[in-house]
Amino acid sequence: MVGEYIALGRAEEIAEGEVRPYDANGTSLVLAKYHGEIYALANLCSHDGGDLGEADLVGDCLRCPRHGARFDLKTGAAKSMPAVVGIDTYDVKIENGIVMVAIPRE
Amino acid sequence: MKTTLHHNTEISFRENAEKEPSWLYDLRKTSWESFHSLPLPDRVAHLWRYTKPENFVDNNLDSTVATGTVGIQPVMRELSDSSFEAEVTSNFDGTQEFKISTDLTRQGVILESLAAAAFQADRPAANYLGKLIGFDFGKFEAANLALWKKGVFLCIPDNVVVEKPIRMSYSPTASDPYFRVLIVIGKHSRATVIDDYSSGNNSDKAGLFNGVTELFADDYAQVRYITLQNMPSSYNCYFTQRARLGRETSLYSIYGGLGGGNSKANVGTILAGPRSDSRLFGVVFADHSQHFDYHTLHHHQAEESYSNIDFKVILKNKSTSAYTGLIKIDEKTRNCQAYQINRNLLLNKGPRAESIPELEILTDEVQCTHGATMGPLDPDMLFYLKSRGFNHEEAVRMIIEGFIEPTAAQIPSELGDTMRRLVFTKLEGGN
Amino acid sequence: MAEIIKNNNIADIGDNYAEKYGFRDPEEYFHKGARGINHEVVEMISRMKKEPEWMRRFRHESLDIFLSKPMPRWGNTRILNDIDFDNIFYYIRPMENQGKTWEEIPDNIKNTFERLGIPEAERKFLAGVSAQYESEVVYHSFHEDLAKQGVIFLDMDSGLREHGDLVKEYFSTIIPNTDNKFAALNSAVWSGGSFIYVPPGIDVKIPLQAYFRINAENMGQFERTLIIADKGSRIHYIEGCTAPTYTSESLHSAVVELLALEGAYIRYTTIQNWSHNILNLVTKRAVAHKNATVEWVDGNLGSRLTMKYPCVYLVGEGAKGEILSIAFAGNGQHQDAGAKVIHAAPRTSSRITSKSISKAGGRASYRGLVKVHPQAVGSKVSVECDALLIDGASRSDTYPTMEIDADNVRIEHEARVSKVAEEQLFYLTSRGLSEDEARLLIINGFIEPFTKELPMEYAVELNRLIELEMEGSVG
Repeated sequence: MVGEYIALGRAEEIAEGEVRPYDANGTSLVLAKYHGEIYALANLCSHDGGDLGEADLVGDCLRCPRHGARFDLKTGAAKSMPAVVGIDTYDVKIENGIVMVAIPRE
Repeated sequence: MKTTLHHNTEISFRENAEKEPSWLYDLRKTSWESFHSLPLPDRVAHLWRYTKPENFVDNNLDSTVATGTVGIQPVMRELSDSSFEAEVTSNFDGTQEFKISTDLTRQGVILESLAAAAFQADRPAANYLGKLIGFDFGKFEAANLALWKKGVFLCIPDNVVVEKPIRMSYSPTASDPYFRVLIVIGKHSRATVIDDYSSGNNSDKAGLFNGVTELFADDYAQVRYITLQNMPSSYNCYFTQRARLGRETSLYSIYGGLGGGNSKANVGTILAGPRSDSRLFGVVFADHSQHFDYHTLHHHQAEESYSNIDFKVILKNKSTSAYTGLIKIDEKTRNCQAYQINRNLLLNKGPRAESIPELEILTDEVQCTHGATMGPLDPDMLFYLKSRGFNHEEAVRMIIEGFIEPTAAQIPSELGDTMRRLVFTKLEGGN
Repeated sequence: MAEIIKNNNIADIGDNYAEKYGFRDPEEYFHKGARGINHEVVEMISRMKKEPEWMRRFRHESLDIFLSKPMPRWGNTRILNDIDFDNIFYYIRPMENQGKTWEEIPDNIKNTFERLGIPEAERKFLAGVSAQYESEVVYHSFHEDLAKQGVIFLDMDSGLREHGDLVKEYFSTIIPNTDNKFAALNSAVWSGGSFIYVPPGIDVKIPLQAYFRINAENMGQFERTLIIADKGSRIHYIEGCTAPTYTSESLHSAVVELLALEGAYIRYTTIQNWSHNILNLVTKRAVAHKNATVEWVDGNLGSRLTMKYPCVYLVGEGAKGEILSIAFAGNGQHQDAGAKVIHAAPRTSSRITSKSISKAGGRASYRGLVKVHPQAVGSKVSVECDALLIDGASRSDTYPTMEIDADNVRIEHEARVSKVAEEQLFYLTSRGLSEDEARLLIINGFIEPFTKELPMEYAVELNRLIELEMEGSVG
């Protein structure tokens, strides 16, 4: 289910290897750039519900800053303890240099 | 010294232009400073794991800070032929109306705006304001104590029995999130107070509410206190309430949580007198993307005190609830009994519930239990009702009715019906 | 039960902890490093152990994580913040090589384990024994026929040497070094502990045991245990621990990882009886796959502060987790113990039973987490906490957290706090028991759900320990 695309900012604002939190009309998410590609994931660690805004990238995984849980950038799947359940991912497209993220409708 | 600021506001407090009594001005000023020096609550901290403190930050602080207490001229009216003994209405536009029966006035009952009470030297407001929820209670509580304009002061002298309820009803004012209630009930007196936040649920403009209630019940008093919260879903609501009970005093309190977007409430009773008795009932119904974070406290400071909590949560759609109930029993506080049960009903796939019933017991002469359950509607009960010819919706409604009715039945006047109506509207509402 | 009391007249049990467990040996060590923690210490440990490069790197990375992580801001923060990490000995190697027979062990150390009854227990009812003294396992034995069936039971260092690939595959995957400050510290300086692998379908019918002894003052013991139970296998592992009584503190910070593959069964039993100057800050976690069962049986009697919350992740359909614990908090002690269960697969079930006793100003806290993820449909959870307060100076806390994010799940939680009931006491004293005896009998009844899960010898031992702790508790 692809919902409405919401513009979050300029693609060039995000540096390679960077993770940044955004608010997409009430949906809290993070954008991460890896090998030139931008990924959007829920800003919510499935281990303890904490923010991922200050997560870092370890290879193609987002790593939670608190306990080190890792999530696959592409699928959101949990890749390391202490998380065993994945997080939501969102469809991303770049239009005229603007990052657009699809937020599913309820 | 480094202070953590969340707004571009000057720390210095306004001049005492309104000529407030110095105790009040000083209290506000201290609270203002406390508000600025306290950091935003830490998400690791005990009561903030499940709710973002940012929800309750007042972004229009600049405009409110310069305005003092005066300027609100409450309308006083005499009340007759009502199902209430007294009524306060706080309107959308910030005005307040007070009505009180001549009978109560004759017995010395005071019901007036908190500001009016604070300005009159013969009122005891100075002895009580901020004594339960003071400038150091927390950041948002400090903001309330510094900045409240609209408020209610209810004072019932000793030995007065108020038969019919006293009703306060509140509609949110967009420009002023703060509201403060101070209730003082004298020895051997009896009263039922309805604190109703359910009348103004029609705004879709984002708003903030920050309400504080302090309730003092002196020795042998018997008090019923009922709060029904049905604020607009566009509002983030922050409630802090504390009651303090004297010797052999009883408090019967009911909290209904139905409205608001993100609602956080911290409600509790200090059992300060021997053989005091506090019974607390809660019903929360969360739907859509509503978030409720309720904390209850029963703090036993005196021997042979008794407390009981029955807190029920119903969740629907993608809503979330966090309930944290703390029972605390001090050292050398012998022969207390404390009970607590938290029940959570998850009506569909999607909601999330947290339950944290806590005990801190520092004495051995104690009887204390708590329990929590979480689960869907009982399938056996559903099956039984359906086998008796009820369709699914009817069966669900009957189970929910059975779940809330013991609490709803305790609510006097039409407010009980209001709660039932709100619950069933939510139950039958779509997604 | 009355017979036990009659046979061991409480007044006659002259031993106290200091005599029975709290004695100390002279320090005649092969190697004792300097106090304090830094990359040189980590490098030294890794070099002395002749470890593979990946482990050396892992230790250094872990130290950086340890240094960057803040202290926990919950639990007993007063004691935690007082820990002086620069005053601790992180690595003491009592002898150059491990003994295969007790005769190979220096007399001091051998006598210590004799006094603690380890060789006797080994002869009587154990399939294997590992005895750790300070940082190293000094004695290790294992039944030959189990080894022939492919069961591996080694100290962790030997495990890494002899089964490097297996260790590398699973080590730190259940408790990553980023998990918490003390897991990071353990990851940097770990030494000793057990490595166990049980092949598919093998049932290890007799328990394996590890015994941990701290002897030196200001010692830091950081054992590391990894147990892998392959499909359909069964294993019961028991650990015990004691230390001499000193006036300053020592730190025990273990990391224990359990992996129960499909249909496997692991029971992990702990009788923690550290002296009252040990801070016991331990991370224990298990992962249970499809239809696997993990049981933690956890008894906490000793230490000044214990913070330990054995955890089970139920990641496969039908997995089961059970945590059964008792905590006994006496004068100056804080037992902050509990349990965690994470339900992440359908139709998983868990049961937590926690019993605590506080006396003479002791504080027992139950801290627990039950989390049910959306995947865990049809799961069942039951939590029961009972606390007994012996006197008015003691304290009991209960901090259970339940986070439910799934449909069709049933959670039940109950907690009770009470004192020893007067009417029970009266009944028993009227039957000719002294008040001490009556109290003990009530407590034995209170913790019976726990003791009945222990091998007989341990149950008797535990009852004796409780007697010691309860001695003179009246008045």
